[in-house]
Amino acid sequence: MSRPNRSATIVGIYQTQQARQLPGRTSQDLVIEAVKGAIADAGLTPREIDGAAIDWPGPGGAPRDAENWAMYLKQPLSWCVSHHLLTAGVRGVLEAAAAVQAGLCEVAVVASGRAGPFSADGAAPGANMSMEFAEPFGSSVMAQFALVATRHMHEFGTTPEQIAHVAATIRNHGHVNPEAVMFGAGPYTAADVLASPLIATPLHRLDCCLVNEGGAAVVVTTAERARDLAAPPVPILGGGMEFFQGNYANPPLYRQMRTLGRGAVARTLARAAVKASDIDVFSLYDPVSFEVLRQFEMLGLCDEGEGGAFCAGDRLTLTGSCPTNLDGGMLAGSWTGTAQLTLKVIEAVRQLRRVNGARQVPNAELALASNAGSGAQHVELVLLGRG
Amino acid sequence: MNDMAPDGFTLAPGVMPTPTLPAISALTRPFWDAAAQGRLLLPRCNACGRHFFRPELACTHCFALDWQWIEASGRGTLYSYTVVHRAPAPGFVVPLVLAVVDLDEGPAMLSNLVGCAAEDIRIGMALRVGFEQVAPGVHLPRFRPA
Repeated sequence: MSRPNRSATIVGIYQTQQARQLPGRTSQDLVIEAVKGAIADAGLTPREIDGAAIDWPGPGGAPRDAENWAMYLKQPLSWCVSHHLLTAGVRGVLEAAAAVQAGLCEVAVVASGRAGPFSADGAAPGANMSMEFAEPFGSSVMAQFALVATRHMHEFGTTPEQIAHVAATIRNHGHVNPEAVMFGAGPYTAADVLASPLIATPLHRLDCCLVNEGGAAVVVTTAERARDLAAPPVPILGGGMEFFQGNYANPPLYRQMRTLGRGAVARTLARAAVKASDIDVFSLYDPVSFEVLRQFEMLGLCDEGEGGAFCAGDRLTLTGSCPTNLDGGMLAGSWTGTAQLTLKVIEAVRQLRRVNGARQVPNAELALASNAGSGAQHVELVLLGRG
Repeated sequence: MNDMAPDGFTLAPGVMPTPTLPAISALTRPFWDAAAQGRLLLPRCNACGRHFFRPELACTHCFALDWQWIEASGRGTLYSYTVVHRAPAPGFVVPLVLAVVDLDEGPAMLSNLVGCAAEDIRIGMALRVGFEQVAPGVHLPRFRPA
């Protein structure tokens, strides 16, 4: 008797409205909407879900504890995890995939959401950690990414204009995406980016990601189970992670970060038995525009130091050779604290389902989603295909 | 009061408001106590002899638990920097220069670059530490051109 194919497969996705503010919404009801929506997208019912990597912002229940979800899903659950970087994004999806493939559960949901980023309890999870040897000096997430960019410019001659071009390109993708927070706000040129206020040199406001509200969810199950479900299955072909050290407490040193993610890239591509040049569409983590060009160096699609030149022209657009963040990314699409990590996966899934309308990459077969980046000192990658 | 740096130069008092104070623990208390005396301390491992920063319970080179605080030279070079124009929290006065300093002893630390016009900042420039009192009993190490 042949063993069932337990290869992890994405069968459900859902994103709530993403907006600067969602009046009347709470983080908890955004997560509920996302969870219900992704399960319905998969053609499943909540009581069929036996794995939960789902945040629990509250009120009610035990704060931040995924075990609460047993009340609404299969009771008892077979598997859950509860950290804010395990209930979202590439890391959450890879953890769920590992659980599914190991037989710890059959169907897992990864979900988080956030309303009220401007309220007292609304800071991004993890963003209010005490950084004793960083914050008193005026450090911030944006400033730490800027420290990497400055050193890259020093070593390789990368220019603010090259960085701004990446920002303008991705923001123009958001300009024409009705679901993006910054829909209709452009179009932008690199000159517009350079004319926007400086945040931390060399990064201008338009080089930096948004802060807004919204939720997102993904459903992962086995290839065997996926065969019976409504949605076109999107198999997880490979994945990889790298963690250099805890983020934002220690300075990100380019001499250490220059190779960050390369091992993860190698593992991801080897598992899928493909080359980076085979990837049809990119959903790259873009907390700042600079990080996009650095990730093309990480992927080996250009030499170290050549990212600025590589991303010039129309390469990152729908008609270019490396269509990137066609939803507007985090620069113009959405950043909510953790759900944007998941949106990177969702955009890749949508491209592979070939349901992305005006921004659909024709005949997309392989899509890469990434999370985090050099300033954060960790990288997660997932490579997705078509079932 | 004015704060005397180890090599004698005097910083103007209170030049840079610091609304976010270090959350000092038992692990890090010696660093801040020494800073209040104008001395920059670094952990040095008794097993492998190397310095590390930030302070951690175990050496970040060899994982040994046996280390001691030593007084650093207070000298280093500028590895990278950013001129911060948007205050990271209310109360910071911008622009300010967030710097990564390669200390002569080996470790890198985040700090501020002061006493240097933005157009004169050069990666690789030699720096020396000074201390600024930013709250009662709290002194921050900041660097200026050597």
